[in-house]
Amino acid sequence: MSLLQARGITLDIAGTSILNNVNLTLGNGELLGLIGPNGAGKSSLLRILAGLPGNASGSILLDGVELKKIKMKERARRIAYLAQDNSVHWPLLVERLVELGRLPHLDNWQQPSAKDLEVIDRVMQQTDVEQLRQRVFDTLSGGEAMRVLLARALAAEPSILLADEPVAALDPAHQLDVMALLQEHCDSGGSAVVVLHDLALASHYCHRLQLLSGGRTLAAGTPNEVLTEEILKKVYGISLRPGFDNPKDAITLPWEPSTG
Amino acid sequence: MNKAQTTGTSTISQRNIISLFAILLGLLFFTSLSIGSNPIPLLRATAEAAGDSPSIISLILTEIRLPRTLIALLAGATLGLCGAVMQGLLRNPLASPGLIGSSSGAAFGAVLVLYLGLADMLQLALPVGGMLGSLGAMLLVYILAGRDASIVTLILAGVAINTLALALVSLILNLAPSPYAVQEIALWMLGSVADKGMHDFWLLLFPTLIGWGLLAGSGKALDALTLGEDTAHTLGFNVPAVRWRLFLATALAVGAAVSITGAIGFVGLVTPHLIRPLVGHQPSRLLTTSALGGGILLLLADMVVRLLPPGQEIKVGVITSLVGAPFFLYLILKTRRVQI
Repeated sequence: MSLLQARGITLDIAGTSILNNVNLTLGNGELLGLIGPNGAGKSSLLRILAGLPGNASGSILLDGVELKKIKMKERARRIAYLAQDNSVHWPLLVERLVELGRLPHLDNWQQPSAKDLEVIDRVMQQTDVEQLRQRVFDTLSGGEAMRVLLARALAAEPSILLADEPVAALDPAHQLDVMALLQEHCDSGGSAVVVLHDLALASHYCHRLQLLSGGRTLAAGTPNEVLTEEILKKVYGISLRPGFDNPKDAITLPWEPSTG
Repeated sequence: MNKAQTTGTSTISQRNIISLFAILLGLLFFTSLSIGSNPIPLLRATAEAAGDSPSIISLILTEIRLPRTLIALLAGATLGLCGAVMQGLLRNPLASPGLIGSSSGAAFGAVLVLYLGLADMLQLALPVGGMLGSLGAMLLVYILAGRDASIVTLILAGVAINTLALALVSLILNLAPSPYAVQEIALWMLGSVADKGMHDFWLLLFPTLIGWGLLAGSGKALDALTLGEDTAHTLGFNVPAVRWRLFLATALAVGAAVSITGAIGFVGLVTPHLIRPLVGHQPSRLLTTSALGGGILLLLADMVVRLLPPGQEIKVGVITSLVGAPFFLYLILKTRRVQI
């Protein structure tokens, strides 16, 4: 059985159709890339998967249970959402910010337990932000900030991570870092849906891709099945250049973080 | 790690700050009881108040100083707490408890009661009028902005209702039957904790406690809102429900405070600003500390008023605004320098 399943998701806002009968399935350990042109409905779909309020119709099942019937705290422990707008409104210390990720596990008056602090330490290690603990979030670079926010999302120990363009503002090295972290999350039993614009990253890291355009699913499958010349031409109006036949061409393709 | 990179403030522990503030507030409480135009020895006055025939100093203590001190403490704490809550909820350092119309709504309700002469007939009329005005203003903001309003819509709705309420206050001043009535209303609006009795304190206490009760336990939701409303929602908080609960609480507590004391400016705005750096800017850690801090500030301001040379007594609302406004300017300039 799939972990997360969306059926017949339709959303209209002020008479404009945003999503039209979209289906989506996410399996255990799967990294699913949502791609498509601006305005295709990717972010809207991700928000609906995250259970954010709105007037979308259709159903979402988490482990076979209707998402709306799951208590908010319980849902928050199982699905973490990394919004596209990643502003933090007060200049918090990094460790306090990551601690916010444990909120779904705490009652209203409960202080973080030793176990909570252990998880926080672990995710900070995993995302390599330990040395930033005592820094104020506002003073971080874009790459550091995204790793900290990812640590915040992972701190809830969610089985599903939903990330809306987590690499949009990052340089190639940090893009690879973040994608590698998402991959690690999926390799260790989690799953993720990530909205991406970079087709190379999508093809390299995602197990499956779902391509939205005009609120509909135009293609879904492995990267090789989705990123074909014909489909990309139809959706983006771009042509592809197969391979690198001339080594002198100044075209680079960031591929993986260098180790050491 | 490079030391210059460590910009984290070495925050004193939360518990220490609360203890420190509580001790300070306690000291100020007793100081406030004993000082004024006639200093009174507290122990003797207390002993005499308990006796069969209360003396003058014991009457000053129980009938004048005690209600005044308690009201300043309660109103100051409400303003500090609600300022911290509003700033956290709206994620705007310029938000004040009055932003959703509660202060000006309460002022309108209370002024209307004064104008109609109901206050002289019925002691309850003034605070009840104030609270109804405050709740009415909040309700109008709610209707104007809608349940799932964005922050900008909320602030605009608040501005509109504030303007309307103040226009109505002006209208009443304009229509006031006698110069005496105008003066009574105008002096009330300046904000003061003087000349109050214990019955005022009891009237203030109950809505204040209900308001505080509704605000208690909102710290984690405010922390989550640091990351934006969507993320707060996905962290398990029902954001619209939290928002309206906090609005209702603020309307109750601030409405009660304003209808007893009149409008006391800047305590709600400035207190959270003063304390924020001490608690690492975290909204949940700002609540209790801002409540204590607001109490301290208003008690201090009221003691300053009492120690000024006798004559026409300066209202405490005038002092808080006179000191608060330049201080706020200084804060803005400091923030600007940090940002550059």
